[in-house]
Amino acid sequence: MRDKLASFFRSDPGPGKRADGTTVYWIIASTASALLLMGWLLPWFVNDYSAGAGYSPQDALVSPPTGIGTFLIYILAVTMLVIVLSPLVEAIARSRGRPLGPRADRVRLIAALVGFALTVVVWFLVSIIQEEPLFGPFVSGTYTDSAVWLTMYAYALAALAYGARRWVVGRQTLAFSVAALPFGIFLPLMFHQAPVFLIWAAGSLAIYMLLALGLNVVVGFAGLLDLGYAAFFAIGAYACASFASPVHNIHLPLWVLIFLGAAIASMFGAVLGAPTLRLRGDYLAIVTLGFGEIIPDLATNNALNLTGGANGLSGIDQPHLGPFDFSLSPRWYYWSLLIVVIAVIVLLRNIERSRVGRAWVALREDEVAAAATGINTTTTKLLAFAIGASVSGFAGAFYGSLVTIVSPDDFSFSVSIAVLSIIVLGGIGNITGVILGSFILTFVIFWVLPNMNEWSATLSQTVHVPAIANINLSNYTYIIYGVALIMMMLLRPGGLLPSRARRIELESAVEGESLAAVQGVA
Amino acid sequence: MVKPTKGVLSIASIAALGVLAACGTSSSPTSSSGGATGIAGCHGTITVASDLPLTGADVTDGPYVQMAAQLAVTQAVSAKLLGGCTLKYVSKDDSSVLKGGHDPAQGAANITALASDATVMGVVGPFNSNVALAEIPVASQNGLALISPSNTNPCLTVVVAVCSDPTIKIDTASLYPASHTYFRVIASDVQQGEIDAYVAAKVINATKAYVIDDQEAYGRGLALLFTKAYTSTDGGTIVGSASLPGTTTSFATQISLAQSEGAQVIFFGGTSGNGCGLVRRDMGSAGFNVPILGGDGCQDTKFITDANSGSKTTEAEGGYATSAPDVTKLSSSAKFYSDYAAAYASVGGKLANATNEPYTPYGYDAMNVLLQAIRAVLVANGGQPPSSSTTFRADVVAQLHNTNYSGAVGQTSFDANGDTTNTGFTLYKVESGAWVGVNTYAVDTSGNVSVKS
Amino acid sequence: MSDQSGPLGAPVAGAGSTSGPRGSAMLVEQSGLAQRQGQARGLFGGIGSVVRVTHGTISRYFTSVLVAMIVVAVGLTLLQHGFTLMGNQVKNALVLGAIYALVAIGYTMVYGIIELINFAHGDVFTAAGFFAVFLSSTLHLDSLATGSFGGLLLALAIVFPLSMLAAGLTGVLIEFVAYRRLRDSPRLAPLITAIGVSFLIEGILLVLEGPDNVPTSQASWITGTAVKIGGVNILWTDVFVVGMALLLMFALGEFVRRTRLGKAMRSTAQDRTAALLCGININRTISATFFIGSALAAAGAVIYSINYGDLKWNIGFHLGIIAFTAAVLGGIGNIVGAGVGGFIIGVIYVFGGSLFGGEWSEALIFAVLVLILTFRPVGLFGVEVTTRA
Repeated sequence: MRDKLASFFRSDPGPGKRADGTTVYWIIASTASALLLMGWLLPWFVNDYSAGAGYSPQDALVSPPTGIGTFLIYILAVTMLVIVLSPLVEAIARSRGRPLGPRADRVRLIAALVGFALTVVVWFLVSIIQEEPLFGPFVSGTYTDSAVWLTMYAYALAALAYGARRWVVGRQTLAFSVAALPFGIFLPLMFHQAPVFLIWAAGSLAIYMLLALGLNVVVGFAGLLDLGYAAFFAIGAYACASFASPVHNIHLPLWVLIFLGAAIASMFGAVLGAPTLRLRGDYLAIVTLGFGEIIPDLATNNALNLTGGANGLSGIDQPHLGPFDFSLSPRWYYWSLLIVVIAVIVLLRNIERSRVGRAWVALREDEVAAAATGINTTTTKLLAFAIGASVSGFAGAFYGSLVTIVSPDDFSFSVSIAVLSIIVLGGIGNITGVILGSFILTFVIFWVLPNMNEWSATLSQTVHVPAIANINLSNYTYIIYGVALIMMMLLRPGGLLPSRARRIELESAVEGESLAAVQGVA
Repeated sequence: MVKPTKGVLSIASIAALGVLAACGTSSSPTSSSGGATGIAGCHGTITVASDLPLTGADVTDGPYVQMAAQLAVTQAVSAKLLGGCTLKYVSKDDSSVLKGGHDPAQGAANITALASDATVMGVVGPFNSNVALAEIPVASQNGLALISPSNTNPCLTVVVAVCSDPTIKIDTASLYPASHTYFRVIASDVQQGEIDAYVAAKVINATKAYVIDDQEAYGRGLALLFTKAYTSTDGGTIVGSASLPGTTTSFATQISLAQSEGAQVIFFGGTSGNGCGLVRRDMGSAGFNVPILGGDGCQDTKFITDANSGSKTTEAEGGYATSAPDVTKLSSSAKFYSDYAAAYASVGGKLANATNEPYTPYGYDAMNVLLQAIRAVLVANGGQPPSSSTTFRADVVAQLHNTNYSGAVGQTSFDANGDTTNTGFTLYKVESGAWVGVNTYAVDTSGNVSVKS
Repeated sequence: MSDQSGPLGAPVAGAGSTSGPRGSAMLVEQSGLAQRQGQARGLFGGIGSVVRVTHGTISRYFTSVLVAMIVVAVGLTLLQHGFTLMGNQVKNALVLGAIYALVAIGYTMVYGIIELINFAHGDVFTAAGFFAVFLSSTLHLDSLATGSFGGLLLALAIVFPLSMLAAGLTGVLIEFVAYRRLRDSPRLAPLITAIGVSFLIEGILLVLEGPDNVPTSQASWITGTAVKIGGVNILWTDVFVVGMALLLMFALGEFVRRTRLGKAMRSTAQDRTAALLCGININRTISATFFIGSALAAAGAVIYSINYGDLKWNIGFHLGIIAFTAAVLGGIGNIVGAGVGGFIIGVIYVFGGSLFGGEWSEALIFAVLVLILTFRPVGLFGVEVTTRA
């Protein structure tokens, strides 16, 4: 029993074994410290967004929290930092040839548990005694509240990391999900209404993540280059707009719509995919580019009187689910999209490992050989198109009900390109990479670029240099976006997290050997 | 201040209550008393915002309006318009790099963000009608006042016949799921379409017109309104029409068609940025010498530059466009233009001159109308902001309906739909490389167009 | 993905290097796609054979069908509206087509050699146009060009080579910075950098030139009517645009056919490794291709600005995509094909817009693109050869 326990906590897995969990520590530790930093700095950054409807403007003027409750939380948070930084101590100790024993892990686990318990106690205290001069403005969704939640979460994370090191090392993805999920779920609760990032997460990140996951099936799994993916996004969105708006006076609930949108989009995926079955590589890309241009053109020209022309369809319903009114807060979109994204990720991961997924890989690597081994290339390709399109149908339905208007230029070529950039940047064929890519690129496109000017104005006021405000950064959005794309690709041509197959290819690539280079064009 | 959830009332709260009560007794609730004495004790932060397209293809329009709105705020701050309350200003950009210009999705996200800030009491914007379609429902849900300096599509506020056209299809009622919080300081296109048709038939004396539009909410709507009025009221014939995207670089095909059909006037529904001037240029290249007529989207310097860029360098001459009365000529606007020039002298370039963009004074007035409404709420509430932001916003909207503001563009007040009562359009003609006002027209309730003195 | 095999299958032995009548100005010979019999059997069953036969028939006569449709469109215009309109529209189509053709050639050359859809090509076009405007105003060429015919020729002789040189160097620089390092990376990496470069150039132009149409004053260089046929005014600019485009295309064709560098390009396009073994400097050849392609785009831009008299920061991208369609239509990698494809696209754009309404022009072009790739992927001028798949 003692031995078992010892081995469970052992830092050094023995000779010849690389994974000792230090990397995992670092990931979790840096996440925790980043969260804490966020918790502390929150009052100064999101000053305007923490109070919500029902609060008078005077409340927003209240200075950052200074009460005793907040003070206690800060102390707990600083203590947390000690635990967080302990891997550094460990690394130093190991470099001196005297690695820390399992005792160190036990100490850290106990420290984390105690910290967690203390935080809970403080949380109760603060909730019971709500006097403002003592504790700062403690109402659900304000700074102190957020700081409490973040500290509690960080301690729990540390307890998980140090208490179940073996388990964490063995199941990195699962451990990461276990660590990240509660954070993702409880995030909106820390704020009274809608902070900017929630709007971003629900409106841009989740939609583009879905699109990227769908395109990843077509491009990454099956190796069919699609330059007109926005067409399916458009089909999903228009389907939603037609069935949940005053346009035809049909008002279906969102829950029906997302599946309807996905079904219609996947049907179109198969139909538009059919003529391309004989085509490969770039020719396929060009045809899809053509479709990507034709679909918005048809919508603009109000083909079949369904699409409302260049104005698109407006007045799309925002869903109600029992007492939850989606139109009042992006929170509900955030949670429903979270569910959809997770479901899609799990589903795609399973498909990837299924028979179909293996058939896609075979198809991607060598179509002739795949056909020779008895894979029905027609069905396999059409399935890739259909599944890829259906995911964008989900995204389209949500987009329609979120923005309440869909118009043809929402689905232009640059949208297809942005989605493609996400998966190429993240790592083609690798779901984790695609998720990472969508975080980075949507952050740049939908957060950094539109807000640069506001930031520079704030900065110039803060540091009292008026010259900064005069630099009109918005003029440079295109340059910044362009340079970002070029640099990302030059630095990581295989993407940030290349899929395993891709990584092997990259490593074995010989000068002039890769791609179609060997065969030239002909 | 008093929160029902709180068990214990803090000393600070009680003290604040006392101050509030004191203000209530010592100030007179009328705004006409001038000075900020009544609201000098105002306590809190009030934010006003603008949401305009500032990047990409819209960089010629949006920034002027944004700067004008900001000027209004700066002046209000220095004049202590809101008394002791802190007045903050936030500028949002509704364009995105993916669209290369204004983006309804970005606009909706901006309004959501602004609405969740409890201190935001009103937004000036949006600039484009299709962005308005996405923003109005959000603003309505949150009770947030939205004042557009430039949306002219009639279907945003009232139901007219064109709204149900298959290529417009705007269901006005669905835009307002909750309260009606949308206003505009510029007249809608219904009247403009009628006046344009009158001009084509009676001033230009054309019986056959060829209509081109730029496919957008504004341009397409205006083209349809023109078509309807021209054929039904003025007895003209439409010999052909085309609907071309803003990316079109050559209109030669349509000019040749119009020429062969014997059109006597070409009507362009759309903006100069989407090809109004280029149509004129291509008419010159094709040797097709009939007048071109456009709406307010055409009446700017871009039209003249574009039209004269072809082989005929004086092609813009004789081009017609109707637009809101020339604000630069109004005596009321003189102060605005000089203030703007003084405030932004350091910016330099085209942006320093407000006359380069016709909507600039509308942005200024929109912001001033909003600030006056907020001030009226404060005054009516005893010099203090109402206790909750929801009430405050509702009060601001109510005060906006009572607006009677004399600003740069003239006297602004709103009807029940939020449309300005300051209507009338001026016909302009290009003479010696500049737009010159010809006549100002007004439409009476039965649709008769007459010259307005 | 297509990384492992060329998208068009294996090269055809000896094609392109033989100076046969058809392969003369082609960078590469098209080999087409393998016909995989039995492919549709699983899905379509009995209908499969019908589909195949129909497909085969349309494929075989695709060129004739397309030509017939164009003739019908022109004929319809003549019948409905008379000679004047038809003449005018033919003129419009040729002018538009000439510009598409010049841009398409750059696309086709780059694609032919490194199989990259160079999305930045259209923006090089715009940048070169603005550079030409800058040249004209710095060197005061406007007064020179409008003064006398000799002056005009002199001005053209200054503007064309200089702006072509500048654009060529830009193209080489872009290739060096953004594509060369990624030549052995996954296929999509250079595609994304190409788009990045496109955004970068557009961004720079937006900052430098502003968001509006910029009048270029070069429209005043060539004025007046050359000839009047019936009611159709053919202007000198029209003659200039079409003539100049044809001249440049002919010159390029001769260059690729006759010079050492041209041969090097063709062989590099066909088989890079073999070319390397033959002692061809691959990097230099690819640079040269970018130089020539970009230079032609610059010529197109100068012609554009002389004809239309204005430029805008973002016209290139959209124009580029349409020109790319022209390149595919003519058979990608085929210089003559790209030229002819450009003119055909011009005809489809103008007559499509004339007959169905201008809003359908672009949809029609992309529909033709999809159709041609479905029925005749090698393009109008490619030869369908069945090789190993």
